[in-house]
Amino acid sequence: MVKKRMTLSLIALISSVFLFVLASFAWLAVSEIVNIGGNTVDVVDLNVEAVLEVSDDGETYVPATNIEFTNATPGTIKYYRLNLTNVGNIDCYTKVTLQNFVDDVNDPSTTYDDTKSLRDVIVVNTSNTVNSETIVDHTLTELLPEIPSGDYSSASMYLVTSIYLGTDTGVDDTATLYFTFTVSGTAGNDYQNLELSIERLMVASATP
Amino acid sequence: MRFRIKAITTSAILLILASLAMLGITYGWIAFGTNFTTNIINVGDLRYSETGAFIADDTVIVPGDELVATAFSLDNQSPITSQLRLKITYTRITNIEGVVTPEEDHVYKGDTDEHLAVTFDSVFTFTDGDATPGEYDDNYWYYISADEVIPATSGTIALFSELYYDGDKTSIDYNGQLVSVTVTVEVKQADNVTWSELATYDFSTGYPAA
Repeated sequence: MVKKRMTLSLIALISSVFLFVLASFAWLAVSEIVNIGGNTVDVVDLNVEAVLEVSDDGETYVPATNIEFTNATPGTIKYYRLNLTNVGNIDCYTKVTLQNFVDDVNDPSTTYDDTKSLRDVIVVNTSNTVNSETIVDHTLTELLPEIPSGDYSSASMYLVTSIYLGTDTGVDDTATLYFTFTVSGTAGNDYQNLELSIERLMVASATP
Repeated sequence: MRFRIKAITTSAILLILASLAMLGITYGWIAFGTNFTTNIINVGDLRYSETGAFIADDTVIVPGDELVATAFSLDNQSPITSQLRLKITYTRITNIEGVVTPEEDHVYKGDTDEHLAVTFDSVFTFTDGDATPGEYDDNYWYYISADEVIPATSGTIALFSELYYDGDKTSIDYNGQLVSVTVTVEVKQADNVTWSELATYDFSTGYPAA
């Protein structure tokens, strides 16, 4: 008896899910819009393209596949910009985060101070072409949540929390996030030979 | 029977989750992001090694005796640009109104009345690059100039190969005196950091023979 009820329930569940999915993907209709009981269900395509570029002077940018700021000296600035384009068919909000920070050493065979972290002397600045959200002269340590254990391998911080991207061709559907990393001029020789790896620069979008 | 119920329940849960995920993607509730991975920031370091030596400490010398046993030089293998300076101090003995007066740590500035003679093997300029006198950094010889930036991994930099008390400048007042010479070499990253000491070379004479 129980077995029979379970089987019937399962069949009913699968059927309802399939109906819902079929309706959503418009497998039951040729058009992109499906009318079921007077309700309109749009099939959305949420898709934001992100192109990363890097510059040494803030003027001439070249394509980059990741953040690579090596053999820096105090005062050195690296300029990045992230060109975002909404190529989907729905407006969306996009956020950009840096995730998973791990302290390391550039060359273990030479001297370094493992009590120091580049998080304390890497200064971040950001701005974007869509809204007034900025980060002005904050170190990574100031931007990251405080973690008593000192293990930042799962920590993340926003470069920007929200950029609205429309779907109209032109200004509305594009945005540029500018961000720079500066090795603080106050960083002394204590920070020599240190390295900071950031596992991921993530661009994520969601519908309004 | 119990196993079958468990299996059916698990399947149902997985199915519901899969359906929700599909719906989330369909309606844009969930979006796949773009990831740029393996991001690295690192700071370079200074990698200098030194060679050179004074003659043995406690050696009894007379004016004109060469104090350098092996010419002093540096090998720069730093992956970053850097700057270099050195300071030479020595015991300078003068006679002030009949009193023999040793002045310890007199800074060698290359003046005409210096009692020490130094032959640099590269261009060193006694300047800190500004016009304010009496500052701490006034006492250094800067490699090439105060603004000179040494390229990364530039290789050998010759410092000096001759250093001695000049017999034409020293007097009988040095007789029986203990004298010492100290050379301090400092390097730093080319931008915005303070100098740090790379090496110090000392030489002191022995007590003069009776």
